[in-house]
Amino acid sequence: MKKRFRLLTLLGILCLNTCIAVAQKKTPALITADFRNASMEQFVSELEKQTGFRFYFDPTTADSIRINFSITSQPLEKILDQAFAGSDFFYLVDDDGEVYITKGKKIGITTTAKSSVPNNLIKQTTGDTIIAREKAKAPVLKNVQTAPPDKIIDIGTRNLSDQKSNKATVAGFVKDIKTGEPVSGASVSVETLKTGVVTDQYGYFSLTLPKGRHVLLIEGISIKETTRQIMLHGDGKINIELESLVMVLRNVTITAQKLSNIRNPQMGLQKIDISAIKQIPVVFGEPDILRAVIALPGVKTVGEASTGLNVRGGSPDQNLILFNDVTIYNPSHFFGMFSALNPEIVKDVELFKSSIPARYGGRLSSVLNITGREGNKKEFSGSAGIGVLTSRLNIEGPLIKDKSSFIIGGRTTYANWLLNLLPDQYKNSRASFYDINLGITHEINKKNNIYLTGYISSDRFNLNNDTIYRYSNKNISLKWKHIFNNKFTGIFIGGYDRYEYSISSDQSAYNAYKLSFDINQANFKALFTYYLNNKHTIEFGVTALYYKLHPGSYLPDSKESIVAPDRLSPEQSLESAAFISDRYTITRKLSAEAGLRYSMYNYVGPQQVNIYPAGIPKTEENSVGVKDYSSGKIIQTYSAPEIRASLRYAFNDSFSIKASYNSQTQYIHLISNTTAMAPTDIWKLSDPNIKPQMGDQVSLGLYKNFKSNTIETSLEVYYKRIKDYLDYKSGAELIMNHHLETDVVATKGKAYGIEFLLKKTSGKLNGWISYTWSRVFLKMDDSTQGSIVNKGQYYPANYDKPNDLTVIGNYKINHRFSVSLNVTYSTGRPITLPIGRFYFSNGARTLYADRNAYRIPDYFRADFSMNIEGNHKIYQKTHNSWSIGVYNLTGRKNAYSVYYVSENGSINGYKLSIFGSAIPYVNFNIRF
Amino acid sequence: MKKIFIIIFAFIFLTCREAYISPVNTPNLGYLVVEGVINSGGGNTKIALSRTTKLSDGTRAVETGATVMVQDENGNAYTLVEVARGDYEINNLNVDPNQKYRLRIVANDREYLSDFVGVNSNPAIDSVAWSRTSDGLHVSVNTHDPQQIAKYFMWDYIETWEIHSDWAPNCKFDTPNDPYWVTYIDQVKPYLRDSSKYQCWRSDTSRQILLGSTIKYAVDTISENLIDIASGAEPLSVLYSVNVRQFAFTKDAYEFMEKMKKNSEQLGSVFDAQPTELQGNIHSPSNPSEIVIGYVSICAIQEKRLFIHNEELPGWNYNSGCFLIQAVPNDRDYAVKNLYYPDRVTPFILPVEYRDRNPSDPPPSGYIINYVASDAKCVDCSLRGTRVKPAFWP
Repeated sequence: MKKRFRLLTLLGILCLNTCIAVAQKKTPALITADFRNASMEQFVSELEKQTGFRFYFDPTTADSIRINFSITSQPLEKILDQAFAGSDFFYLVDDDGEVYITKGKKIGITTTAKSSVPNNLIKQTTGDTIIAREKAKAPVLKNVQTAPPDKIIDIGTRNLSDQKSNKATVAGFVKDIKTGEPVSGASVSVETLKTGVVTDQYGYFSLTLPKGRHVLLIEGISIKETTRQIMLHGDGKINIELESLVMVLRNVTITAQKLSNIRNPQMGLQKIDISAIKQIPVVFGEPDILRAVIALPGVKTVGEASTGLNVRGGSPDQNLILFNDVTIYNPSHFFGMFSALNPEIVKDVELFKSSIPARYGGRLSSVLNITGREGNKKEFSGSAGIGVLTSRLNIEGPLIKDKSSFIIGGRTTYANWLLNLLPDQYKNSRASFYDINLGITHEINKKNNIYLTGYISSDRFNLNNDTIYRYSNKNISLKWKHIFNNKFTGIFIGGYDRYEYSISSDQSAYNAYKLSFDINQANFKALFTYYLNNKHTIEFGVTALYYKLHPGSYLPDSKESIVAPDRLSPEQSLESAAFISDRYTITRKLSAEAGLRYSMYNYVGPQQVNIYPAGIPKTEENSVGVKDYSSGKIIQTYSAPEIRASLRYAFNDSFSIKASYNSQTQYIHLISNTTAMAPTDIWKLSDPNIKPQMGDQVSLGLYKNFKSNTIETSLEVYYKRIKDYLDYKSGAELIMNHHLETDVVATKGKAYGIEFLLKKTSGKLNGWISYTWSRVFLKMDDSTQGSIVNKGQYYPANYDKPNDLTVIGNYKINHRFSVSLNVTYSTGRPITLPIGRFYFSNGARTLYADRNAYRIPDYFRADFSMNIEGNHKIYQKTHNSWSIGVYNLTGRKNAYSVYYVSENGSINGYKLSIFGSAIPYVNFNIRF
Repeated sequence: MKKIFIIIFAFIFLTCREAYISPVNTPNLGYLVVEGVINSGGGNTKIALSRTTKLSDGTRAVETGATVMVQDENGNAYTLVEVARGDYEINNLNVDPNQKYRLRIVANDREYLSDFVGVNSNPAIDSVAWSRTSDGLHVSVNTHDPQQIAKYFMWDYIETWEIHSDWAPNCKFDTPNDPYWVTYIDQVKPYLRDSSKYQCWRSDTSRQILLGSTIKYAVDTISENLIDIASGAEPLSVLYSVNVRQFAFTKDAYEFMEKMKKNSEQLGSVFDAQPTELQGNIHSPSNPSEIVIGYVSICAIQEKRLFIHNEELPGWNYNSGCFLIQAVPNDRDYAVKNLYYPDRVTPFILPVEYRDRNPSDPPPSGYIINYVASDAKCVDCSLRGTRVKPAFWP
C-alpha cells in the first residue's frame, strides 16, 4: 500500500450550502458600438468592456454566428435582442450582472443568489470553458439553498503529457447537505453515455468516463435530482452534497430501488428504508424493523411471539443479521415480542435472499444487512419518543464539524405496569430491557474514514421473583475505509460480538442454580473493491472469524445448594474465507455477477470428543470412547467452495429478467426443538460428530416497472436444497447435554416457492402487496442415525406456511397527516396433533404419531395507524409527531398454537393466541 | 429436576386461551397400553392393560381376557390373574435381583414381549413431610440413596381423608315407606339423631406423572413437592392421610415417562417443545412396527404413609358452604314438586331437625308440621364419600 498514487487536485469543492449573497440589481450602462462580422467572442468582450457585466456562452456552439450592426446608446437587452434575432440563440441576464447565452434552448433563472464563481473556471476568455447554466435537466428551483449544480468543475489536472488514455475516473462521496450523512444507493450517471453507477453504503461511487465535458445526473428516491457539470481532464474526485426532499425531514432516506431493481444484477434483494418501516402499524406502536422484514415476500415467521425469520424455507438461525457489520445473535426483546434494533438509529435494511454477495457467508438462507445512520456532521440534533411500553432517546452531532460525528441512541422499557395488571399469581413478575447504540464516524482525510459501532442489548425477566431469565448482546466493531485511488478502495473491519443468556433460580436455597451460556466471536475482514472499468467491478477479500463458545454451565447459586456444578467444555473454532467476485456489465442490457467464496472451518482443541463407530446410530451406548485434544490442536476441518452467480438481461429500462445460483455453508447451528426461538436455545459449532449445513438455491425472476418506475412488480421462483440441517430425536434433551450429537439427527430439506411483489414507491398512495406460495419439507430416512422420522418421508417443517399475503398501504392525505393499513393472511403452520388417547398414571394421555401432519387455523390480521406530523415548518426548534393506531383491528384471536393437555385426568384441547383482542396504541415522537 | 428448564414463561398477560376441538376425525387405533411396575419387594404386582381410543372418546378401554406373565431368562414364568377388568395381579413375586425378567402378554391372540430388564435399586422413602404456607399445605417426599445408585424416580400417591356431615339429623324422609313424608329417626326417642351418615372417607389418586431425578445434584438426595392443597380445603377438615409410592427407574424408563409427561401435561406455553412419539420397551414380535405403549421396569416399590390432623393446622377454616333452610312444610305434594330431582327418587335436600310438631299428638303417632333442612350432601356424607372406614384409619 505504497502511496504511489498522485494526489489529484480536487478543484471546485463547492461551498454550496448557505452562502446567500445579498444581491443588488445591477443596471448596465447604455452601449454604443459598431460590429462588423464580429465573432461571438468579439461581440461579448466589447459588451463586457462597456457594461462591466460578465458573459457566459459555449464557444463550441457560438462559431456559427457573425454579428453585423451598429448601435448608439442602447440598453443591453435591446442589443442582444437585435444580435440574436432570427438565430436560435437565447440569452438571459440576471440580477448579478451575469449574462448567459445559449443555443437552441431558452433558459430561465429564478434564483436570486449564487455563490461566487471562481474566475479561473468560467471566465469566458479562457476559451475552452463553457457557459455554466443548463437548466433544462434540473428543474428550476425557487429554494435559495439549492446547491448550484451549474458550474463546471474541473476534474484532474490538464496534464498534456498524460494523454495515453482517453479515459479517466471520477470518484467521490454523495452526501446529504444538511447532515453530512452519506447517501447510499443513489444513481450517478451520464445520460448521454448511458452509463452509471450506484453509490455504496458509504455514499461512495467511482465512474470511468471519456475525458471531456459531462453532466453527472444524481438521482434516487427522496432526493432532489441534481446534476453536476464536470470537465474531466484526468482522474479526480468530486464530492456531491445534495438535499433530500423536504417532506418529513430526516425520516426520509434514500433508496435507489426504482433504479436498481431493474438494472441491478442482484436478485432477491429487498431494501426498505426506515421511513417505510415507521409507517407500518405494529403492536404497541414500536416501529419494528424485523416486523417490516416479515412483510416482504418470501419471509415468514412462526407467530407473533417470534421475531425469528424464516426466509425461503430457512430456519431462523440461517439468517445472518448484521448491524453495521456486527453479528446480532438474538435480535429480539421480550423473548421475541419486539426487535432489539432501535429504529431511530437505523438508516435502512437490506435483505438478501437469493443471490447473496460473495462477501457474506456463514448462513444458508439470507443476509439481513442493517445499516445505521451516521451522526449529523453539521449540527447537534436528536429525537425522543414515548410509547406505551418503551421510551427512546437519541442524540447526534459533530465531534469535529464536517469531519467527525457521533450518534447515540437508547431505548428502555417500563412494561412493569402491564405486569401489575396480571392476576395475583403473576403480580411479582418483572420485565425490563434496554438497548444502546453508538456510532462514531471520522473522516481522517479524503482517503481515510473510520467508523466505530457499539451495540448492547439486554433483557431481564422474572416470574414471581423466582426464576430470572437474562440475555444480552454486546457488539463492537471498528471499520477503516481507505481509498487507495479512484478505482481501488479497501475496507478493514475488526470486531467482537458476544451473546449470552442465563437462567437462575433461588426460590429454595437448597436447589438454587444458575444456568448460563455464551457465544463470543472475534472477527476480522478485509474487503477490497476494484473498479476496473465501467464494465467490471471486482470485489475480493478475506474474512476470519474466531468462535469461543461456552455451551453451558449449571452451577449452584447459593451456599446451601446441593446442585452439582456442571460445565460443558468450551468450544472454539476458526472460520475463514476468501472470496472474489466480478460484476460484469457485458452490454447495457446484459450484466452478470459471478463470485466464488471458499470457506474453511477448523474445530480447535482443547476438547474431548466422543467417538462413535460409523454406520450405527450415535447413542450413549454406542460411544466407543472419548478422544482428548490439546489446546490449539485442529480436531476437524471442513471446507467448501461456495458459488454465487447471477445474470441479468434488461429488455428495456423497465423490464428485466434475472437468474441466479447460490450455494452456502453454515458452520454454526441453533439448537432448539421449540417452534419459536426460546430463551434457552443454544448455538452449537460443527464438530467431528455434527457436520456443517449446506444449501444451494437456484432462482429466476422477472422485473417490470410501470409509470416511470413508480410501480414495481416482480415475480421470483426458487428451488432450494438443504443438507445436514439438524432436527431432533423424539424427546431430545438439548440443554447441558454432554453428547448433543446423540439427540440430533441430520435431515435433508427442500424448499420451493414463487413470490410476487407489487410495490408503489411514491405518490400519495404507496406501499406494497406481496404474495408468496412456498413449501418447505424435511426428510430423515437414514436409519444409521436412529429411528427414522415419519417413515422416512418428507414432512413439512414447522414454518411451512404455503400461502402468505401481505398488503401494506400508506396514504398521505397531506404532508402532515397520513394513514396506514396493513393486512396479512397466511396459512396456519404445521403442528403435531394427537391421533388418539389412552390412560396412564390415572390420567388420560395423548397419543402422537407423525410430525407436523396437521395445521393450526389460518392467520389473518389487519392493523391501522395514523401518523400526524406536528408542524410543517423546517426552521423551528423541535418537530414532533404522533402515531396512533390499532393492532389487530378485527380483534381476531389468531392461533399461535393448538395443543391438548391432560388436566385433572381428562384431556382438553386449547387454542392459544398471543393477542386476543384489538390493541390500541399511541406514540409521541419529538425531534430536536 | 429437569423441570427447572421448562419454560413456563408467561405471555399470560397477553395470551388468551380458548377451547379447541380438533376438526380431524382420528381412527380408533387400538394400540395396546401396558402400565405397571414389577414389584421385586414382596407385595403386589399389578399390570393394567388397556387400548388407545379415538381422541374424542371419553372412556378407558380396558383389555380383558389377556394372558400376562413375568418370565425370567431361564424360562420360568409367573402368570398374573385378572382380578378386575383389565387389572392383572400377582402377590409376592419371588424376584432374584441378579436376574433379568420380561413381561409376556397375549392379548387379542397377539403376543407382546418386553425387553428383559434388571432390578432397579430403590431406596426406602426417608419421609413424606408437609409444610404450610399462606396459600396452603404442601406435601413432599424426601429420599436419599446412600449407595448412590438410584437416580431416577417416579412417585404416585393415594390420598384419603375423613369428612363429616354438617349435621346429624333427627328426622328423615320415610324412604321406602313414604319417600315424600318426613318422620322421626326414632319415633320412640324423637330427640335421637342419626350419626350413621356423619362420618365418611374420601380418596383420590395422583393424576399427574410425578418424576424426579438427582442427576443434576452432587448428592443422591431428592426432595420433591408432590401435593398442594389450598388453604381451607376439605381434605384437611378432619384428618388427612396420603400414601406415597416410589418407583426407581432406569434412565430410559424415566425418559419414556418424561416424554409422556411433556406430551400430555407440559404444553401450552409459547416455547413448547414439539410433542413426540412414545417408544417403550414392549414389542410385538410378529409385527415389530406395531406401537405398544408402556415401559416395563422392576423395582421394590417403596411406600410411606403420612397423617395430618386438622388440629395441627390452626386457622385452617374449612367452610363446607352448608346452610339451613328454615321451616320446610312437611307436605307430600310440596315435596314431590319442590324437593326431588326429576327422577323422583333422589331428594336434593334432606331434613335436619323437626321444627313444629303437631302439639296434640306427640310421637310416635304424631306428625311433623315443618322442619329445618339442608343440602343433601351436607347431611349425608355418603353422597360425597364412602362410609366404610379404611383399614389403616386410626
